[in-house]
Amino acid sequence: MKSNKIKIAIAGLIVGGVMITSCKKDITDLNENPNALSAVDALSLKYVFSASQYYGIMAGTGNGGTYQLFQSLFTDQRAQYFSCVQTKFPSDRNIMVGSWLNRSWDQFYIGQSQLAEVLKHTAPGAALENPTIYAIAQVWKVYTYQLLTDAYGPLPYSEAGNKKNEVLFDGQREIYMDFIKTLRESSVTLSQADAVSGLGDGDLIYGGDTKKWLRFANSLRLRIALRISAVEPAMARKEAEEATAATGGLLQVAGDNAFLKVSNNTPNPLAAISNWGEFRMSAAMQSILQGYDDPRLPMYFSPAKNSGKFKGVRNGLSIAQMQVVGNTADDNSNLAIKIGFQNKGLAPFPIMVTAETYFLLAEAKLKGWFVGQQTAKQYYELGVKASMEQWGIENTVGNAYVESTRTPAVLGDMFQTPALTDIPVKFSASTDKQLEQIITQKWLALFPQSPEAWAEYRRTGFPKLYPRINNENPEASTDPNSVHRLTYPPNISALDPKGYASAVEKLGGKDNVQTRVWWDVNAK
Amino acid sequence: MNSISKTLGLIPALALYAQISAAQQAFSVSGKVIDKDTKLALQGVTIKEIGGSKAAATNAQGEFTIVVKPDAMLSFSYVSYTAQTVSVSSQKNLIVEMISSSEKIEEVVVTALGIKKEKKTLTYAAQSLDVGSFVKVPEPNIANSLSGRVAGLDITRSSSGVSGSSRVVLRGERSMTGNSQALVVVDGIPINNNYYSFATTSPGNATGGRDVSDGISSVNPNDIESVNVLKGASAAALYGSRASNGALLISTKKGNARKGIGISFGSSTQLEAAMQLHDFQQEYGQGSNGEYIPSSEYSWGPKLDSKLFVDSWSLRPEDASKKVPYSTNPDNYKSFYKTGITTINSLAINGGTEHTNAYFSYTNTYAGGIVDKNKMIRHNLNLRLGGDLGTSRFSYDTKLTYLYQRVNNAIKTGEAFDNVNRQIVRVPTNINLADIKNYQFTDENGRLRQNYWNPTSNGGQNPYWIMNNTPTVDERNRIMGFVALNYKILPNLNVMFRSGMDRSLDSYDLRWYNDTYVIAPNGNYQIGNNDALELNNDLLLTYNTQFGEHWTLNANGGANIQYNKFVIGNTNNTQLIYPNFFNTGNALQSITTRNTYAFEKQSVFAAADVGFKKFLFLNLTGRIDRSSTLPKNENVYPFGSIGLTAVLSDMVKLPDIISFAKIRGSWARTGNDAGPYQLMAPYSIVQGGSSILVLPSTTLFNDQLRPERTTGYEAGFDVDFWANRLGLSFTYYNTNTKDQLFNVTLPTASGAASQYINSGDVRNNGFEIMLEGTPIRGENFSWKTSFNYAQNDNKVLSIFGGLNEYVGASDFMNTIKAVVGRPFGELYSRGFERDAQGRILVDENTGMPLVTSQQSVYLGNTRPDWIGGWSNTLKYKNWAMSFLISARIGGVVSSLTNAVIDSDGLSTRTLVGREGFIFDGVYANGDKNSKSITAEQYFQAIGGRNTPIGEQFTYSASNIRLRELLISYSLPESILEKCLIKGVTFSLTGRNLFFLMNKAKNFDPESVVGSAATSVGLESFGLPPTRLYGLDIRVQF
Repeated sequence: MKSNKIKIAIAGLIVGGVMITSCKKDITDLNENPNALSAVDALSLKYVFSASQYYGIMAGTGNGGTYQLFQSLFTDQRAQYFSCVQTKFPSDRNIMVGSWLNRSWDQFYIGQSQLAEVLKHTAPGAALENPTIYAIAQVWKVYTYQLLTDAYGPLPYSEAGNKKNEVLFDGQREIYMDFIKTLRESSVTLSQADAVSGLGDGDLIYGGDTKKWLRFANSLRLRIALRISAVEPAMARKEAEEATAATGGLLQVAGDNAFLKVSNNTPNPLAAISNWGEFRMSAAMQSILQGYDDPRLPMYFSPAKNSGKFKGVRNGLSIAQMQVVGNTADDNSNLAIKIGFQNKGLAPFPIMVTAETYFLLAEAKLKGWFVGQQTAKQYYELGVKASMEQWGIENTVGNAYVESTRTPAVLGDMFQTPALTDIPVKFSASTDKQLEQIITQKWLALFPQSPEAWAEYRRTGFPKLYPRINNENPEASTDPNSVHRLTYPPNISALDPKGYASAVEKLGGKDNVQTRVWWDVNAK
Repeated sequence: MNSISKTLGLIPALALYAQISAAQQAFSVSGKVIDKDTKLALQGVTIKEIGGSKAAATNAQGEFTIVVKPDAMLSFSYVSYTAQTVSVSSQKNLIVEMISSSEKIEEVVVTALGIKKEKKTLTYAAQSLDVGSFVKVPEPNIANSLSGRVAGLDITRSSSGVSGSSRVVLRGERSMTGNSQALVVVDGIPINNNYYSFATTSPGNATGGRDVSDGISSVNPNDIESVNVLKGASAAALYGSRASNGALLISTKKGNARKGIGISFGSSTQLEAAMQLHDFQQEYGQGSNGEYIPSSEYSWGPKLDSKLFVDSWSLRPEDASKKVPYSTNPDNYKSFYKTGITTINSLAINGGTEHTNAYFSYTNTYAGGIVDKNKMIRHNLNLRLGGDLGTSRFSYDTKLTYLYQRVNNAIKTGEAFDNVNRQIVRVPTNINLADIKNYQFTDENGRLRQNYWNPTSNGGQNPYWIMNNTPTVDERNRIMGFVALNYKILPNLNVMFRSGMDRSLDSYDLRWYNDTYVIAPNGNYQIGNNDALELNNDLLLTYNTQFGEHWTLNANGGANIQYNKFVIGNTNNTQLIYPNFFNTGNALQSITTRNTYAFEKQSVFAAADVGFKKFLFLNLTGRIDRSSTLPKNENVYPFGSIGLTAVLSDMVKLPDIISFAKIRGSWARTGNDAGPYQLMAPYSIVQGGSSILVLPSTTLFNDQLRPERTTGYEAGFDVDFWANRLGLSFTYYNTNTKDQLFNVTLPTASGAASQYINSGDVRNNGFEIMLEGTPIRGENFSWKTSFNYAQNDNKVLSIFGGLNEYVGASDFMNTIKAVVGRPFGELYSRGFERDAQGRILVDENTGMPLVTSQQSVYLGNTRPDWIGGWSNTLKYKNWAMSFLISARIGGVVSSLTNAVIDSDGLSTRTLVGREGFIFDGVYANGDKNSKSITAEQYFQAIGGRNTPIGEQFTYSASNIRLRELLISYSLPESILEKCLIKGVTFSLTGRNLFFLMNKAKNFDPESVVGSAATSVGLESFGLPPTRLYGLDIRVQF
């Protein structure tokens, strides 16, 4: 028996020994993630800012898919830059496809969470405190949020990033008021900052150039001022005049153009989607560009594959109409090679261009605001020429173009589409044409920034756009101004019913396409 | 077939050789065979001389006479009785008592950690499987062979061809986002069945994607000796955290002591052919609005007319002015799929001496799918060596298996644009298959172009381009092995050390030629290498003793260390420079990622079985795990189980008809730890921007995670009647899985897309019935039948905070949700808008039905109400027939394929109303609709890809099928007397021969987009259901 006990004891020791050996090491050490950084520092934070810039235009990761889901499938078609020729896609007939909106919304807020990291770490008192970077990030926040609020109205804004499963919305007026406050403060900070911010190559727009960010901030203030000019006329005027007079000035020379730097792995999202045979030049673009004999036509679009000629197609085609000769992808103009697919997505993506600033100033002049020395006509012509310069067109061509009395063309297509409008390029003496001319030329110059073009269309009613051929949304019609906003992505009501309830309450109307956003009071 | 005829040719020669030998010494033995319990005579018992040629059978009185050598060994075999070997030892008169093999006392089953137990002592439900037909009706993935055989085991498979993964779920879905699949254990050691969680995920919605082989498919069916299914947590509690979903315990073959070596050879060949096909209309061709359009992907064109010639769609320069007949090609879809063939050849050598045993096997599997170029080649090598080195105290057991597998062109599932099924099903009938076979041409710039009727379509492609120009290769090299050393410290105290390894090196090579839409401008090349390692070290002490007269104790105690490491590497060359040269050196842009995941678990455990008078047994288990993946203060957590069983038939006198009865009950708690690296939010780095992008995690991490807990109990009974001619087993169970570790979706405006939390409570309860019987047991004819039925009721009791719903997956057509108060897997989609009376509302301007704008219409649950199987084996002399009918009743399945082909105008459903019809519905004011619409308008509105109305494309998933049929003939021993060959069996085999009922009509509701939890119930451009039939030959030497 004794020897048995010894043997049992030995066996126990073996088991115990194995356990002790195995327990000596702290196994939770194994749980340190070797595949990612556990914290950010000043060096890595600037590349978080890069991410927020790329995600900010809803390009996100992937090959343009999420950009497509917001811009190509909605705002591009609303602004009539492009028409849909893909039979599977109904959004050009005013259908709100919830699963598309879900994904672009998510992509946008992921971008905001990246930006929030930059703000958190550089805020006053934070470990990486940096007022300049903080101010630049704030300006970028205003720019990106404006894209989204103009499309939807109320948004999660002050509570965004609360890390909870309930996020209440702010009304669009409150959001705009914060935009104005933020831009004012940032403008002051940037005007006092060093010329170089330390963001360096992490800033994909200006490479950390503080002075350019200051001009961008001031120009954004001007954009916002005009957007709210109907609902808050006094405030709008004050903002516009202050922004124009602010230290640093506005985006004025070609070097000021804000382009997002792209690369192989974060390409221009337009490139990928232009390979898919889904979008072609709109009839509106064709009528204007061909009617004006606009030198930007071959810069924007390429000749149709089948005919070798530039051709656009009407918005809102039915599935059957899309298959008819004349309406198919190969019968119409795709994006130009230089900005499209064949350039492998390496064409920089425009964020805000100097031409826009001039058109904003021209409109402010029409309103009689004090925004600089030049006349509305001069600003208008400067805007047109800035756009020509941006697209690499010689000055002489631009100079001749602004004198042109050509008007938009009749299309001669199967729908007997008439000319879009009768306004010429040459700035009219008659004041009732001038606003239409300014906004129509701005619409051309903004291309391909359709979110801004659609917002300005809703605000001003210009350019006059074509009726859609078909409408399938019972709450809209073929009238191009019957869709005033996008409906909220279905995930919001599914995941956050209280957040959704707050959105509808702040919207002040039904969550449908008829309800107008706060600043949309003027046109029709 | 050549090898078969050669083998057949050998037989007469061998028989001749056998006759030359003569018996040496004659000795006549007589005797009687009786049933041990009833003492009744047994008629028809076969008596054979071992190593000799003589055979006899008992008469009606159970008597026999046989002339053999005086020292001969006789084997006694009889249907449903345990075979016996009796030494003649010069006895002239033998009384042999045979024991019914269904008698529970003798049945030993393998339980957790490979511990063998008498089945009657089990306190929980376990089911052992007859492995005979596994091998004869070949199925490259053994998971699929289990379907219909086990009460409560639900198998669904991904529609990805010969190498597809399968979902193996016991007793219902437990975890809303985690793993609900059963643990797979081979020879006592868990294997890695989870290739996905780190590398990629099997498709979980109708969007589909790429599916790769799972881990269980690496197990060679020919090496399997037994399969035991431990269904509940009680049974598996000894495996700790991993076994909350039950376990499949697979034991593989060993060598045994014998004279000479045993060689067995088996060869199975099965042919596979598509069966139920889509119902394509043959009256209208390409176009729209009744007009022919050669570039149309729709079939709303004019009526077909064989006299009519139209412009060809072909883009090839030589076809530029070609006219083609505008007539029907009804066999396009059918002739695209070929007959698949699967052949499995296996050779096993088995030998042993008193102190050493060895088993070696080699199996070669070739599976060619019904889509050309989809094939799999697999080689399994297995060596098992064991022995005792001549001592009585020490023994060892070792195994080494090696697998090489290559899969070519695994079929993509769902809407993957390179899913060949998605392309062939959409071909308009006026297009001739012979023309599509010209799938490419070279354009004027020397560029390879795809020849497709709508060349810029996103998603529509030539099926032959996809088949030929998007090739993929998946390779797997997998080594599994173990060493087990046993030392008997005392006769009743044993210590075992076991070390097991499972290492799998997987690589893939994915190519897309240029002009493959969406992705490949000059060609896209993706390669990957995954390295998965699992190590298990076990120490196990076993102690058996008796106390006094009535008490017995079997105790086990031990420790386990489990270590896992995954290295996942991928290089994506999205832009090649020189077209279609697939090499990383030719990439303008390539993104390389390589990530490592490691985790470890340390455990101690103990188990005790206390028996009283061999009729009352108490079973206790306990285990403590320490996991590397949980926070320090939460990473040690206990599990345990307690169970009691009483063998009533041994305790009290029961009516004579009851030959055995026991009742059992048990309670257990198991759990689950988290995946690695979920405690701290990381910032990942990807290439992009000016150099890199640093991306903060979109998941909120949680440093307070706790282990997930599953608590369950089960109770049941096993009763046998009429001397084990009929057996009934019943089990009721209930489990609650609480504190689930899941990644709850957050509104993204919160700054995160999801959050790791412990929350939720999912209850599963249900019952399982097994009925086994031997209605006929005669000398020449016998019939065994068994029936299983299982019903599981799943209910999500809570999710997270006030959250009432959790979206598991969503795609263009479906949303799969968990909803509080409802079972997991609820299917929602769009539907018609209806008024208070349920009438469909119609737009008064257009006459079109109104559709809900969101996927808000409830369509049913994707899990079955019950599953069951009925298997039968009939034997007549040397003939045997078995068949298995399985049923999966209840639940719904949606088909995106049907939504798309209806919208395309391809199905017969779309023939009605082409000239116009009035949709039966009412306007908002209640007036009946009077506006006419066309079928084209209607089906394009309700079907299609982006906004289909799932309500119209969701069906009952109920189906009953003849899953397996086997007819075998064994050559009579009289022919093989004195032959080298000891046995030859030929079998005709069939699998999935036909549906007795299939509510889904044109597809198999069990073949879905993937093996993820949310893929169940979602059909999306799957392979057509197939029927398999073949031949199997087994030869034993």
